Amino acid sequence: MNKRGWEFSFGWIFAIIVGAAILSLGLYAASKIVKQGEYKGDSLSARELGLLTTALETGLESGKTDKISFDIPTRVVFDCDLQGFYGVQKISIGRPGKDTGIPSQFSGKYFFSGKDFVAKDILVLGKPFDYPFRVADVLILWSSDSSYCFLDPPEQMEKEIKSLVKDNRAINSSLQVLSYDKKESCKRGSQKVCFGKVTGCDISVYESLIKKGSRTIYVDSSQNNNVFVWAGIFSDPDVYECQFKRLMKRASSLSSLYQEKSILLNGKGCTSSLTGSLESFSQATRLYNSSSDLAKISFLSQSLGGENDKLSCPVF
Amino acid sequence: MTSYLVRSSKGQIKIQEMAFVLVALMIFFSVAIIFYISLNSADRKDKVLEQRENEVLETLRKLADSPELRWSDSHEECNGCIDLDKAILLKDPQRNQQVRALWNMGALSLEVISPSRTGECSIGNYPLCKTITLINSTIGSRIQYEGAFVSLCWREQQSRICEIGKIIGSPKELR
Repeated sequence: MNKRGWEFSFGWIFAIIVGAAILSLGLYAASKIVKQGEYKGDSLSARELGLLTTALETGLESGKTDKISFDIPTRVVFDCDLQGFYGVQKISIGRPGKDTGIPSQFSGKYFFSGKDFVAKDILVLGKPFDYPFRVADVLILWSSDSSYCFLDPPEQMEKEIKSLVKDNRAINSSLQVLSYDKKESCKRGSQKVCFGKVTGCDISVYESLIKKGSRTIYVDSSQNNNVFVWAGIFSDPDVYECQFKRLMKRASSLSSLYQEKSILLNGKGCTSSLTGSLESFSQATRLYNSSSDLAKISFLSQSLGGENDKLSCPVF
Repeated sequence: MTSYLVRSSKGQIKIQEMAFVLVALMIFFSVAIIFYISLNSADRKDKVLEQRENEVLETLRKLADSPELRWSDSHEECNGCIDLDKAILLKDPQRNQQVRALWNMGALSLEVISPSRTGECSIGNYPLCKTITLINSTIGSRIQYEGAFVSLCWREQQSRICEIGKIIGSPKELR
């Protein structure tokens, strides 16, 4: 009988240790490369998503809808940042439950949406923001999985929802209009949007504000395309506040551009007396801090628009 | 004693052989990884450049409708018209910096095609000039320029005067 058993030489021990080290190093590198690939893919997709939305912003005279589809359910993070002159719209994409890629930044985009959600299809509604001159085209985005039940909306909004629903099948299954008494007929899990009522509502819209849970955001209902109300209903309150801060920054710099243009036109025999009003509007929008300032700015915007319309040589 | 030495040196040679093989393997894998990374980063650079070019195309397409350039007159609409009275004011250094932040481009200019003119526009010679350069940070000639035709309009007394022009832009250079 062999009492020595199997001889485990130094060579074997060395080979096993070094082999294991090389193997684990290889596996680590492989996993890193795969992760890097995913990260790169997510980062490029985020940029592409941003580019896709550009087409929706072009020449919007009224609400325009569309659907953006991913191959698989995807985590989408739409963030708003106030850095730089006009702030930035950040877009990042990832797999559900995982980290996202590098956020893509766009200075001229304004997305009103949830901050972080998973969706296979994203519904998009584009609206121009004229305050009183064109400031930007804004996009309102939400997942096709979430539905909104509008209870007794004002006539103009009801008409708009019905026309959106008629034009787009995906929106048809996402938006619903009912009378408040029939709120039980709202789709299961849908957000109940009430107008002037609170009981049994997830979102309550009033003349100059919107209540979402414990948060209150202010709207300017004098805008004839209801852009503030649409944005307020569909977006996260923090995103709403941040995006309007960015929009007001842009309105401020456009106002000062029109002020210069007004002086330029004066020299061309096209007299305009708008410089003072444009200066005050530029200052007010520059100092805009939150939606609670809207009441004051709304008044300035309306009077500036009215003054401009009366001119024989309008500045904007 | 002699046999022990022989056995020991044989063992050492074996370990050395194995170590050489392992070192060779390590070098091989390192080279392979470096090759993969360089290929990958070149591919990424191409994709980013392609994206930037697409972005420039999209931006150029919608630039005539951007609030900073679009013809603005509440009495008369003019789709696809650029307001030269506003464009010339965007050459002001402070405003120009803001425009650079807004449009992520390496170069951007407006050019009058007809009638034929020459020279860079300034507040003094405008509108009797050819080019309004709004962004010019691109170095080198490798970059592809994309153009879109537009109406370049300005106000004279109370009427609008338009000429045929072109928007020219290019993506930012990759560092």
